[in-house]
Amino acid sequence: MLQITCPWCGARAESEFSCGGEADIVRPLESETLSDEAWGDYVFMRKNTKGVHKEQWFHASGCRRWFNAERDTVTYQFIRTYPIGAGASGDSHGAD
Amino acid sequence: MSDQLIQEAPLVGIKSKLAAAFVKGPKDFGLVERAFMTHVTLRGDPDSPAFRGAVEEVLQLALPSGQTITASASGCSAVWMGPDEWLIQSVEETGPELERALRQALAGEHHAVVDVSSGYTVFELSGRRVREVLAKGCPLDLHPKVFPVGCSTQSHFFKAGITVLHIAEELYQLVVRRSFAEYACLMLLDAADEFIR
Amino acid sequence: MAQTNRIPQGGRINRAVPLTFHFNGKTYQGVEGDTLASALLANDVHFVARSWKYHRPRGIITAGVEEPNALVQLESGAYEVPNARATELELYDGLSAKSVNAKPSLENDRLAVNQKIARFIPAGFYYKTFMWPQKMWPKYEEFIREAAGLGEAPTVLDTDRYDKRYAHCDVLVVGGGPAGLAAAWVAGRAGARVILADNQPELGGSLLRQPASIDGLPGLEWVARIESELAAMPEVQVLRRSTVFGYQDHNLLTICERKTDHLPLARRQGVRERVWKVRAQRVILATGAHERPLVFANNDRPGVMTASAVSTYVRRFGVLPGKRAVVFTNNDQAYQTALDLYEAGARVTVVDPRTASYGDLPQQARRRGIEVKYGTVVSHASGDLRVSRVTLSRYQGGRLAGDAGSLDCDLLAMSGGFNPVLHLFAQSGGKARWDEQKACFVPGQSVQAEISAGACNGDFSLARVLSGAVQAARRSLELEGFALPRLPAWSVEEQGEAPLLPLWLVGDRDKVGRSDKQFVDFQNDVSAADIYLAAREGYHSIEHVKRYTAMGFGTDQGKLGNINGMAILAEVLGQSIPETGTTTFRPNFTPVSFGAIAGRELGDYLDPIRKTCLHEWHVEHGALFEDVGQWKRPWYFPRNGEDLHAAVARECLAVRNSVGMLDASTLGKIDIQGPDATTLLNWLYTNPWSKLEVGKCRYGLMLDENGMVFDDGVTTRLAEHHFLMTTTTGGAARVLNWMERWLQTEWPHLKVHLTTVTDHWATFAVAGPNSRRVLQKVCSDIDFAPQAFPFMSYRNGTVAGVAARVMRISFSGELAYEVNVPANLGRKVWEALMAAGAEFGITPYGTETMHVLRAEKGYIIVGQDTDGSVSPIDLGMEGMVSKAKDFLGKRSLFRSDTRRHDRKQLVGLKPLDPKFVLPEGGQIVAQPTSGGMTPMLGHVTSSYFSPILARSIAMAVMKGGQSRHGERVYVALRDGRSIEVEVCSPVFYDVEGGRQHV
Repeated sequence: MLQITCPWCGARAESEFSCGGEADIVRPLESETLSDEAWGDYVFMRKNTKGVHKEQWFHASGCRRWFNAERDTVTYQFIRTYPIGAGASGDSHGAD
Repeated sequence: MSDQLIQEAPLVGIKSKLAAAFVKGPKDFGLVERAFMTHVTLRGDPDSPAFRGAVEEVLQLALPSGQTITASASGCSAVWMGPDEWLIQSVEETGPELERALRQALAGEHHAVVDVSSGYTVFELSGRRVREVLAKGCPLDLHPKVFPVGCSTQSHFFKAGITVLHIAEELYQLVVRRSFAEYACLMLLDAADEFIR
Repeated sequence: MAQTNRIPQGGRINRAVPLTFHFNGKTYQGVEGDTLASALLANDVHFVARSWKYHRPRGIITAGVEEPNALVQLESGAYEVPNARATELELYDGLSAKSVNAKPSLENDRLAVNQKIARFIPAGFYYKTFMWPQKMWPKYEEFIREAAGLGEAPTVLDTDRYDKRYAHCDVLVVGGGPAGLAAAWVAGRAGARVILADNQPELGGSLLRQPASIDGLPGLEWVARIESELAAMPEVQVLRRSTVFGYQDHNLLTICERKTDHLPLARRQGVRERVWKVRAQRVILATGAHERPLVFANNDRPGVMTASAVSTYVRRFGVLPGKRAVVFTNNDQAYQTALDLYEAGARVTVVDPRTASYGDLPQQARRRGIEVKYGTVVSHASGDLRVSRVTLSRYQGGRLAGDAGSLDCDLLAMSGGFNPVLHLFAQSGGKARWDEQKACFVPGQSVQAEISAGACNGDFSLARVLSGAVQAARRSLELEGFALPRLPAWSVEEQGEAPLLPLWLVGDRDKVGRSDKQFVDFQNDVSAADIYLAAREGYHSIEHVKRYTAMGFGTDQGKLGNINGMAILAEVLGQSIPETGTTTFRPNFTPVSFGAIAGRELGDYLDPIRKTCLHEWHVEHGALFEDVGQWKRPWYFPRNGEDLHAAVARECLAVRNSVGMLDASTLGKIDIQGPDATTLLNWLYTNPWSKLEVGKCRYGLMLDENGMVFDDGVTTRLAEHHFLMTTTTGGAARVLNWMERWLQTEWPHLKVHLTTVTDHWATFAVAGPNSRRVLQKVCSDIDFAPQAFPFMSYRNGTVAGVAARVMRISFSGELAYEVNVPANLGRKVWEALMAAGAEFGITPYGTETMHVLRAEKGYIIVGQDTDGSVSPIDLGMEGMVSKAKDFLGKRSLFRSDTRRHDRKQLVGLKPLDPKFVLPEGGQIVAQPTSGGMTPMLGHVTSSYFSPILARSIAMAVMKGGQSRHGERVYVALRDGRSIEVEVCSPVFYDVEGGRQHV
């Protein structure tokens, strides 16, 4: 069981959390102008990173806040966790 | 207060089971339901002086900004639930009264105030084995060095969500959702089996 | 009875307390403090097992957790444990065990014949032989299943209590030998929260089997002193009989504490085993070392044991396992065993491949007159059920160099050096490093927050063990920011020691496959020849060799044999041991019972059982319950012995003709407040919300981004910026999480707050033409006149004296109201409504009737009539899909696939036989089937008998169904029949919908 640091509650057991998958996927505006393929990319396509992966976590049995994490998918080490919006360093990259 | 007589506590279905559980008495571990406490969920911007001011005026307490509890002289307390969320507890005022007073005071500020008194119940846990009992199903580190008196936080006990309040040495409160109360209570009694039987 | 091998005094046993036990049907006596293994040896029982594949006679090799042979089926019935290690079983009065893998008995084992055909069933034999012909596999499998495996799975339910707990500490010390004790003591003195876990009943580790002097105290007196000082430290917890079986992620270690296994069955109470899940800031691994066997011909004969095990039996258990002993060792440490045997009265000869040793222990041995044969090895053991003679060879340049005679013996103590117990270190992610000088793997770089100390770190002398442990504790404390206590300087007499001579395969390389077997992995019957064979057949990776030969599988996971096996493979392949590497060490270190893994979450405790505030009322009124998610909901309320059909018919007609009441408290309820609440609702639901007036309710469909329906419900506008949303019972948490996620991650600028109020409000549906009259009797401050309180609107009022929210909404198609009151007052209001409705025959109804009533109206249940692949268009609800706004999932409704006309669409089905109720899940086909392949058009999602229509009705999803109303198709049954049905609109009753508007 992992230990995950909630930005508000501190280090907690994984059983208090649920993982939301890849972070920084922005919902496209004016979706009706997108091709089926572009929309499909947004809905279905996710990275399968080996190494540092940005992902969303939810402190479900805690303060019920969503936050972002950088986690190494090989070692399971969390590099950092941070509130959504607080870690943006030019890393919002649309619907990829 | 006449409602008190006809209100029904969430543990009504296991009253006798609960009473019979403490063969040894509650020396090492005690569990009492404190039903019918007022609970109001409060949401708002903790960085807004207007929001804080209005709330603190009504409640006569300072809203906590970390995982702690603050209390007013009149028996009202505020429990930190999240960066913009508190659970207001009271044994004095009723939920609808408190809801009304806070909403009035917060008019114009973005907020939410919701009476959830019937949605939760409170278990008071006491005795020198409380931490051991909780450790059977709750992953929190409740050592007094880490979680001293006055602290509060949320977690789970087995599969029930709980808010844990450290009230005094060897005295804790669990705030539990009504529909999970019976399950949580039975799991607590089961976890405490070696200390009460 | 005679314990012929019991030494008159000494050891950690209590001879004054004799214990009776039963093994393979015979009765023996041991004493308090024995293990089953030591008690058997005290009775001169060496032959205790048959091996896994060849069914060779096997004896006790070790005295601990690494034992591969002495597995027993312990007890029977509810207490039965398969594959228990006799070396770890503490003896208790009445213990009963039998050997595994031997039928009908150990002596007359049917498959003992396998020894004779052993040459023909080497490694890989199964894979090569049973591959063809393929159709014979079931027969082969039957035979293999019978022949394979060790103990037998119990067939009776285990009645014992198992539990688990979480724990947290600054320093977790694994192992209670000298290193662990020293480390725990230092950490404890600094005030750290310490857990020390040891798998033995008694602390001391290697000091329990070897003499030592620490600070002038005999080793075990030092242990007692440290133990009592640890007991006085309030933040130190010592767990005995506790095996750390897993090193998991982020310094979570899992421990199995055995609390009652050492007690006679009748005296056991409370928890049998407890799993500790310890999150440690720092871990100090002090897991010790396991002695390596030596690989020579017939090294598996009963009576061949590791030297440290022999010392353990002599010194700790007061048992002399043999009287004519040969000690075969490549190192100095086993000379202690020679001394122990000698002092206990045995005749001892030491066989040592080295040319000489001037270490302190060998010198002591020689001084006592113990004969030492240097430059010599044991190349072969003889004897059938017990070793009786060993053949010696001269040893030069790593090869046998001629006959060196033989020795008669009844015990052979062997030592090939020690392997640090690296399992937990490796599980933590660390890579082992080969230490050429010590000829063993030692821990490499730490990956998690741990340090190894003592023998598991490759420190084999007591002085270095203690100083290493103190340093490990010191380092851990510094990293955690503790002020250091004064560090102890325990004085220990250093012993001079000569280096060991690595010795992996003793016998001839060129005859390895033809002469008697030289075993590497005893439990899996893997011999040196099997490793040679694997290498010859091209298996060069150690992981492949493991799987080809089965080396390192089984309950011991290669604790004893793996390193020898790797070294032998390295030699065959002409590469170094580090190049060959180790196999992966995975949890669990030792087998853990299913009971311990399950803990208390069994039966009624498996999952929360959620109840509404009316549960007791329902019970008192005879309700039968249905599980809906975690909730218990009344299914129906049978009266006077009614069956489901009769009760539901009565309940349905009561609602259609007069009035009924349903406990709908389980519906999810979400309070939504804030100026952007309508914006949020517009995103979540397919239909528009901006123009909903205060005091009005609206039904909404929620889609996922894939455009598929995932929840539905009615939302009410309580005030300008205040809504109450209802969700399905099962979807409540999912919907709230979904909404929070969008709010927090995508639209944090929206000013909206969500609060779950599911548990706060008790909700009752009062439904039927008389519902208005009932409510008017208990509520005087709401005007119930049809125009004053129209369909799909909401009023605040006082119902039976309680402040209530009343919605006029309907899930039955009848005039109906939903009354919401705080749950603490739910029963009072429910009872008042029941009393008020008595004159109209108000009837409580359950979920079954609710289902029939809504199906008559064609109302869907999300999750029953939909399955995550159904869009609003498929449901015929395109009218609810707003063209004017974007909403979650909208774009997906315009993908080419979602616009297909042959998608499965919601329809009604009427069986031509109006009495026949179709099975839900039944497949729709165009023609009656006759067993062949038939295209499936869809399936039945809901199916009931409708009392008001006096006929069966069903809802289904069917390819292109919306344009096929009026067609006849068939539903195929399991029994081969095909039922003819007519496709129709899913609305069966009151198609115009007039009844709910009255």
